[in-house]
Amino acid sequence: MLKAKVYVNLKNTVVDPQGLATKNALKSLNYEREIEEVRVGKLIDIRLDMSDRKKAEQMIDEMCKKLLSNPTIEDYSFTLEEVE
Amino acid sequence: MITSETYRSLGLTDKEYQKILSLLKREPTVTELAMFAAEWSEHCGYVSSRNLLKILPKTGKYKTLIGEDSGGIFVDDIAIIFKMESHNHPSQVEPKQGAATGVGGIIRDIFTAGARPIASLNSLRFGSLSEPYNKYLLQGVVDGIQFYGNCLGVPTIGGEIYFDESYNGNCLVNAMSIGIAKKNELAKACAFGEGNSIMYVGASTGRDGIGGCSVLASHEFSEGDAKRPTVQIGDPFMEKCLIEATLEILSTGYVLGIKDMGAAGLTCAVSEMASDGESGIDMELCNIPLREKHMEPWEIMVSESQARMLVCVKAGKEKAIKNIFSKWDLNAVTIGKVIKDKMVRIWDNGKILVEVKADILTKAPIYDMPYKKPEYMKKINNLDIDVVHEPSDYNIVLLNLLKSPSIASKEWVYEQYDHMIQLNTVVLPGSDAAVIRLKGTNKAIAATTDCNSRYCYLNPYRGAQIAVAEAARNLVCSGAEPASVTDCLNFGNPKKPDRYWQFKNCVQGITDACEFFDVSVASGNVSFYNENPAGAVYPTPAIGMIGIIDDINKVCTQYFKNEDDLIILLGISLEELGGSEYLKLVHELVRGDAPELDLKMERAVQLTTLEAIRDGLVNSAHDLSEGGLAVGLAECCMSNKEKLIGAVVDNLNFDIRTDALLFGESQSRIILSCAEKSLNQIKKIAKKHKTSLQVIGSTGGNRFIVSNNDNKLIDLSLEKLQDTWSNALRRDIDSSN
Repeated sequence: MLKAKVYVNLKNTVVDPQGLATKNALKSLNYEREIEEVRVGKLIDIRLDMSDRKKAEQMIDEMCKKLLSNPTIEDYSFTLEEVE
Repeated sequence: MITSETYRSLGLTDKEYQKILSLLKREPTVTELAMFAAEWSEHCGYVSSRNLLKILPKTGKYKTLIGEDSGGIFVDDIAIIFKMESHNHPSQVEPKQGAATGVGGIIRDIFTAGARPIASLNSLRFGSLSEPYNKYLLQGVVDGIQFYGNCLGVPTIGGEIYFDESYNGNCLVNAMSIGIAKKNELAKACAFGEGNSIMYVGASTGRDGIGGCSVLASHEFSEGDAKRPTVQIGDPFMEKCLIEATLEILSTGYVLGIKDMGAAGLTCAVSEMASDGESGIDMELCNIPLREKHMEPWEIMVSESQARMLVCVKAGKEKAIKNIFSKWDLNAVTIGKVIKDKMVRIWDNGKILVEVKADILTKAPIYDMPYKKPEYMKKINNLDIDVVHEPSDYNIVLLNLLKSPSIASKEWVYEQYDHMIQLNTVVLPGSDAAVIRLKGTNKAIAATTDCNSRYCYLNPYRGAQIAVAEAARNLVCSGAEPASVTDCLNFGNPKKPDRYWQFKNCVQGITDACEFFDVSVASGNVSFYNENPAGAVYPTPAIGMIGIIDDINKVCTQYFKNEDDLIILLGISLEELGGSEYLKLVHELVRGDAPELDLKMERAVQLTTLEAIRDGLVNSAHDLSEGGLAVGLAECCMSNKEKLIGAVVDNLNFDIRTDALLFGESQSRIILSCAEKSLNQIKKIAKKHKTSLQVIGSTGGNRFIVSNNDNKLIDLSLEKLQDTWSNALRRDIDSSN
């Protein structure tokens, strides 16, 4: 079994209203000085019933392009790990 | 050193570049070149359309205001500001954000004029729903509109959606916004008075939509993917703050001019505010709040980041303005000042980057485009009605028409919109026109959008006239006096003579119809290059029209109210099928001519209806459009979900073909229902206006029955009709491909 962790984030050039709101909220909790930027994205866990890493990578990449991310405004990355 | 590749890649022609050289008498800097390219693009400069748009009427029965970025009318001491604008190309690549920013953009045009936005409408066109991508577009666009409008707190009260193959690969998203202001609260979009400050307010600048206006909107679409990075992201919560902050600074009296940074961003705002104010602006780039690092000056100048505005503030009052913006958590920085010589002068850390006369930037070239009647018209304008076989079962035809997505109930769409917020909506979506209260008065505004683009394809001139006539008819059915128009003109590539011919004839059609009804065209927008690899979209001059209801207690809706009311048909049914939904759906033909339109008769029908509504004689009024008499009557029976009322229509006595009678789309027809005792008075009114009136049946029962000369044509239960009509769109979307 393989487990993929897919991270989807807004592209750096795209304004992130949710991240901005979170940043402002954190600042109001007195993290004023420490915080430089907050970007909010999502993490998608996918368990795959297969063992061929190369094939899995290809497949996850396809899934990201087709559905999991919106290539117009989002970037994605993923990691694969062996699980029981 | 500017090469021909550089300016061509920015969309400028050799000739235009030569013109820039001769105007400047030197080579432009890169920043200047980017500014010229943005300002002289089709999207900002209206280079191929301005010549024709001049003919649209600027006056009408209501006093009209033509502003810089929007327009409106005056009703007593209230200004109603409204405009419709397209966001087609961004929506085609990213439907949710494309539509959301479209709504945000048009609403900014309204409140930068000093008006509080009170309602939105939208006119949408998609390709056939049998294609999965079109379903994705429909869902994304509706999602974007609901997301933005609902978060912002502006009700989405109405609109229209049509589906046709011609929009495959190029959907249309036209958003309209309406706002109100006291006459003396209106703001101008110009900068004047030497020494006054120029302030940048709102969101920070990033690389959003760099070159979006010239690159995205001024070229044909072939592949979406490569152009993707130029779509923007909307932030309705910030826009809400911007509305409140803007209206607050306008009430201080310290603001001399204000302009939204829309297409071509800062470039357009600076040069147009200077040139409209007959002054100059001197500004420093390093003070502009940036969201991204290492932005080039030209990128800053043409960025289309959302929710930013430029304000001209009385010298010495900058602090007061800044305080108001800080209160709303928004930026406000002084970036320059008004100067006497009419120059746009831009510095970057003390180094001069741009020094151009404001009006040579804003005076984009105007082109006379060649035009030629399209070839296809010869082929399809002839329709031999005798080869169209009459169907054997009209029940099936009616059900199929009610199911077709262009006719089917749009409940699935508008139930996602908040149409009640602000608590002024009197007539909700689902009737001919939406009606909103004009707070503080006894009056109301009715609004609608209309355009049957198939008619415009068959006959651009008449199709455009019909769009105006139908919009007015819709308003009249709600009890409103048609007052003024905003038009959003969606066409193909203007450099192709057959496309331009369509454009020219549609503009002429709108002009003539508006002049006839004495309504002005207060604002509008042109969107060219709506093409896909198969050709141009149908010419789609979407008409947004607002009307005024003088007495809010005299509002009318389209559905039958009582059992045993009489059903009246105003207007004349001709034997015509050209361009009808019936011909397309049942016979798979897009042929013939658009329906006849006699403007005098149209006016007579409208005057009769309006007078009857105002006299309190009428219980419902509904105009006949796509799907004709049968569909119109069925809608009267079932568009009030809470109370379905049947109808027996047994007094038609027409001698035209049955399919033309039931499904033909003859114009200038309205269905009224009234109590029997009111009939004589309505007849008198009709006679006065020389309108054809016929009592065709009565309401009641739980079936919809139509017979002609004792021959039963349609007999269906209301449940069946209602289920078919109101669930069709949902079913189309849910069905998997």
